[in-house]
Amino acid sequence: MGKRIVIVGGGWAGSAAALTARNAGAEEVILLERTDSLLGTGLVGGIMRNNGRFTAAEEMIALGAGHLFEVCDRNSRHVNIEFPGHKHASLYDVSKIEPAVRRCLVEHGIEIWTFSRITEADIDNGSINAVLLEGGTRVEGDVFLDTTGSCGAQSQCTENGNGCVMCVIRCPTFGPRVSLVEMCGIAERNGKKPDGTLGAMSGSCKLSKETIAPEIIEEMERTGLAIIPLPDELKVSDSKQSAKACAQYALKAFAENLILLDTGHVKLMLAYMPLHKLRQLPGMEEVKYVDPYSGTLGNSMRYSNLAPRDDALRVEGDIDNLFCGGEKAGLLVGHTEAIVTGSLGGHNAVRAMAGKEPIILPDSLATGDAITNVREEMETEAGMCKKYTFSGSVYFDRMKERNLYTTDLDAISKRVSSAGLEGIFEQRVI
Amino acid sequence: MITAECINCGACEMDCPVRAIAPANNQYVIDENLCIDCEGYFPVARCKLVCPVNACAPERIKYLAKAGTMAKKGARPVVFRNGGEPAGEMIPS
Repeated sequence: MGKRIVIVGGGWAGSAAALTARNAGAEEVILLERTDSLLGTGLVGGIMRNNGRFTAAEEMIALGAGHLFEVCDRNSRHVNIEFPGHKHASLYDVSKIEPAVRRCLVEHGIEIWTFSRITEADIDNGSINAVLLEGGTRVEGDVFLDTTGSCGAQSQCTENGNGCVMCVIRCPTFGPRVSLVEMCGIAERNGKKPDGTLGAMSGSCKLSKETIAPEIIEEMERTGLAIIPLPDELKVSDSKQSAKACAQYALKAFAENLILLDTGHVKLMLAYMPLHKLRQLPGMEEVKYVDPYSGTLGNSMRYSNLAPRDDALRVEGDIDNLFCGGEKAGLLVGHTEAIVTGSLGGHNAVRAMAGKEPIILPDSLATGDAITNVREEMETEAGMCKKYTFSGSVYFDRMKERNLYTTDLDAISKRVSSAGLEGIFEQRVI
Repeated sequence: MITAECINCGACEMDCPVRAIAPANNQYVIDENLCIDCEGYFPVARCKLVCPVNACAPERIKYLAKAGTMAKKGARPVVFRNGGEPAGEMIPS
């Protein structure tokens, strides 16, 4: 048997890790996914390339980990659009993205296992030998990667949120999210809201296009977005804004207006709003939620089970063959961010299999700086209450201060080549 | 279990061979530690037979199986790989 990497969790991070692992020369890449489809919360995502995410995406392309960004670009409904606080965004079609990603992975020779929720890790002498699936199947591997995310379980949504709202994670059907790091006996941490309570709430919902007035939909399909001013009594409170996982959208414009984006469904840029209130708005009289089904009440809760890790995405602790990526790797929010950490984690996992030193992205790159900065910030109590993203809030400010934010493709490719990392994720290491 | 359709008639309590049923706040309940699904007493669970509103569902195992995840119901991994049809069996027949 050749060297095998087992990736637990088929969201954006796991999918990205599978690709870089394969491109680095891993003979067998097995991607275990708990549900029936890839992408997890990415199934209700859509926003790419907004603000600093553009820079991060282009850095990844120059580094040789551009496959998933190309898939997103090919499946975008809108490119280069602007909405309050956000420039040059692309919106991928959430109805088309999963099969496209799945095809890309399978074509690269990656094995995708669905209905494969792990329940146990077989550990011997500080190394994971295998993971056991809920149905009893044993999956052996040389190196393991935890990209299980930080969403749910229902108990977390009940304790720290407004209860189970029947979101795309679908805990009752497939079993709640698991954590391989936790199964290895490594202590994990939880992110906090600014008021110190645990978790953060996902920040957007999906509405059905068919239930909204045609003139709003026409506007949205033409320009990518529709903005409906909220009457005073429906304006969103500060506390509700600050509880959101996506701090980049916790802006005044998002509290005073209903902002709708065209991602195939209608992406409502609010964590939740009671249906009867939503229906008071002109053109929304018959609107219906698609995700979460109970968007009336709340949204999924995130940021539990964050793994301690170094800047190479190796999980710190007593296990020598465990890496991580995505939200599991810390408070770096978003699909672009998950692809960044997942790609690095997957690549470094293969380096570890080959007995080579891992690579660390330098702070001359936005992607490298973010990975280091978020790890350092998370060492402080205040840092655990914030959210980090290339697209806004504290980290985008830092990007601008350090001149890391640019949309100049030449500058980005020069930046990557002067770090000596051009195409690094496409070079075989094994 | 006894569902919320229970009308508090008490028929199940009287007929239960192991006295596993008792009134609670709003309805009768089955003590699942005592209930034996009438095995060895009756071919069909007695409370289910006597309940006038079909509120008694004593087969705990069936209930737990339906409430479980797909893997608990026996779903096996479905594997997607290059050059082949998806292999595996989602739900056992």
